Amino acid sequence: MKDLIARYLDHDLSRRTFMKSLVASGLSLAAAESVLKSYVPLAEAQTIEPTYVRTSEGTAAELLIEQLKAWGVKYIFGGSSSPDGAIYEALVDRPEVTYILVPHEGPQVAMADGYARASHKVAYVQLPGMGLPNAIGHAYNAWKDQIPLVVTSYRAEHSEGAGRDIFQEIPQIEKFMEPVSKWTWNLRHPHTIAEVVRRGLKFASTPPCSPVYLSWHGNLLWQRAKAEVMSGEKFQVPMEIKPNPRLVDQAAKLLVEAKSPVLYVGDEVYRTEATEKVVELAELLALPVTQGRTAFNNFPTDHPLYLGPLLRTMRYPANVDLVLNLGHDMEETGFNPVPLVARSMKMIQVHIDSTTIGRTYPVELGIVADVRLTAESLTAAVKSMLTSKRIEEIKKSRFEPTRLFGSRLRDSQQKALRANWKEEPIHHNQIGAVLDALIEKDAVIISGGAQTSESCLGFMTFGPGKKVEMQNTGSHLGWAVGASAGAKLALPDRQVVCLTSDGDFMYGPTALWTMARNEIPVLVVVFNNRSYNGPRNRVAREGKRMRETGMYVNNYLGDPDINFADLARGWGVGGEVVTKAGAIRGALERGLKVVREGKPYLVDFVIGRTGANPESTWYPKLSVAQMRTKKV
Amino acid sequence: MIKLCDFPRSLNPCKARTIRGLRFGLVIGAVLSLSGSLVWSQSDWASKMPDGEGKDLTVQLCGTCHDLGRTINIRKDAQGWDQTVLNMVSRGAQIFPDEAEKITRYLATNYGLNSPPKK
Repeated sequence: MKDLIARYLDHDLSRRTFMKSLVASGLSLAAAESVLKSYVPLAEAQTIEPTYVRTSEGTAAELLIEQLKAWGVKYIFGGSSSPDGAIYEALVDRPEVTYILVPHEGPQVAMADGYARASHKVAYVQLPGMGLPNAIGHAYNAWKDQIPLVVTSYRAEHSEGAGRDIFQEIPQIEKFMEPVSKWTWNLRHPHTIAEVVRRGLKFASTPPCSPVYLSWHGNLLWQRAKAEVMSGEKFQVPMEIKPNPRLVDQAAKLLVEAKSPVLYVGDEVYRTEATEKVVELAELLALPVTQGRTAFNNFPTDHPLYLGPLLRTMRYPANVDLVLNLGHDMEETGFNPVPLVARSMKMIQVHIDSTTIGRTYPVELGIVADVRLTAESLTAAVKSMLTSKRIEEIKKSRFEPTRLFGSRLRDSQQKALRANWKEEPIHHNQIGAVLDALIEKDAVIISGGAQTSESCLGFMTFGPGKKVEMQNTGSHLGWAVGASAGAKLALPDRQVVCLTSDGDFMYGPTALWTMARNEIPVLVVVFNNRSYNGPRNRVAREGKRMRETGMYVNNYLGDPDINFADLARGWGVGGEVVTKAGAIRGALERGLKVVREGKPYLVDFVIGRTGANPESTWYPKLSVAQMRTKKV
Repeated sequence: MIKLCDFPRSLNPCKARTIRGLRFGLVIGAVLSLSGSLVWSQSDWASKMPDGEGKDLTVQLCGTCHDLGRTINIRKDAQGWDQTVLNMVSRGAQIFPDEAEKITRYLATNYGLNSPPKK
């Protein structure tokens, strides 16, 4: 009878056959019914499919979209390409996933990147294979700032005609993406597409996050297959890793024994939404707070303990002996023989990514853990080590001097920001001052990182419940317009303002078309000084002849003089040009009104150049028209 | 003790709310200035700078962020130096208004448009 029961539970026997077999084995009908009754719930329970998984059948493209739906992916940031036809076909009857068409691969990735930054979710990008090289710069930006993206494209190399130098065949196309990806994979079989995409989503979104790259050929996408489709819930890897208590105690001990510690915050604070916990820790011991080169703002900029940058020699506090680094990767922009953290200082570095700890700078203590949990644990550990009285003494000794120094610094910076203003040419800071007065207190500011636009951020207050700031540390140009559209898509109820410059804007303007088409209401502010102002100033330092002559081959953009508002109108976005300071407020008010009504708007501010040879408009003249001997 | 003095009243009063974190600009500028064949030696650069009021502040406060060679290789008029110093302050340099004025005066006096070019 045991064998019969086992076969019934394995669904090898039907209920009827099981009954018959029991009776045939000698049980009475009543006894057989009783046995059956006791095993029916067990047998039926085994047949209930778990809710996170289901089997789906269709083209590989249909399986792909079903998998994206199951994971909760709402948008595909994509282009237009014939080999992706099966995906477009699959989307016809699957409106849960919206295809956002962006006419250029660079802004496609930038838009996905902005979406991921603002939503804290993985974003999915589908590039035409031949467009992949266009996307690498922005994939680099995402990789640099550990942004979760799944980047996909078709590849001719794995079609049936592979190896014959067929149309658009690039052998090993994934090598373009390898340096900026956590994982690359070429799909071999249609029935594995859902699994491969799941793996990509999981790898990309598990901290430390990164782009991943997946590829396949269009032929494969049309092939039919059967596969399991699963929701993301079973693939979430909790990375809220608590710090080792022994290390926390060591860190707390170093912190309470330090005579002149500073707190140095990095992007892990934003990523783990740890700002409030970090503020609590800073306030507990009145730690002066500094921040380095980061993609996000990680500490309230109006906090009395906030001092701005960590400098090689801190004026205040003097004689720093301990740097508590919460989530900064110690990235710098080049080699500098003078270390940012002097050898005489001890450093505690906390990061979820072990590769950032001790990479360049020696650490007294490295802790691989979640920054929010570590800040919380450190606060508790310090409280357990010191009496309330002692904590108050420490706090008292540091808070007021830090507040005073910070206050003087703010005064100084605000006055400097407001200096040298004229009616014309407009100084870029004039725009920042008016903008800050007009936009929402919790606006999201996407900055292309140009010096002119960045300077304006000095007027604004960032922190929890205040404005949010996003830049990228990769500095690949053309990011801001696309990224701001993506951020607005993620946060439709937050005002989003894009600060870009003429040089930056020209690398990624096509995102405006998507803004207009999808009614993505972003205010785009272009700081137009008709030059590559930053590079001119940097090359001028060593370029004696350039300084003497004012001849810079890489500088002037004013001939032809681009009207960015006209460009925007071409893409379906309203806009205007402003040349006088008195017109700043009116233009921004009109722009914000249009944005409130649900449409994007661009204001092109013609501003002055600054620094070395600002008057220079020289460029190497070349006229092909004059070279002609025939007017053809 | 460094005394805080105000910029001229004609410049708008400050709101004194927020500190720009020098997150990109000055850091980038400082490091890029080191690219090429320069060897960092602030004392070498300082020794080339003429004595005068404001020199110590210039060496101390400007040299904290970037090499002084970057500064003394450039020639500007007083307005140009004023703009440069204020730009540095607005981007996070820890310089107070009275110090900024002294630094500007020193630079304009010694590295003005008519000063001898870099040797």
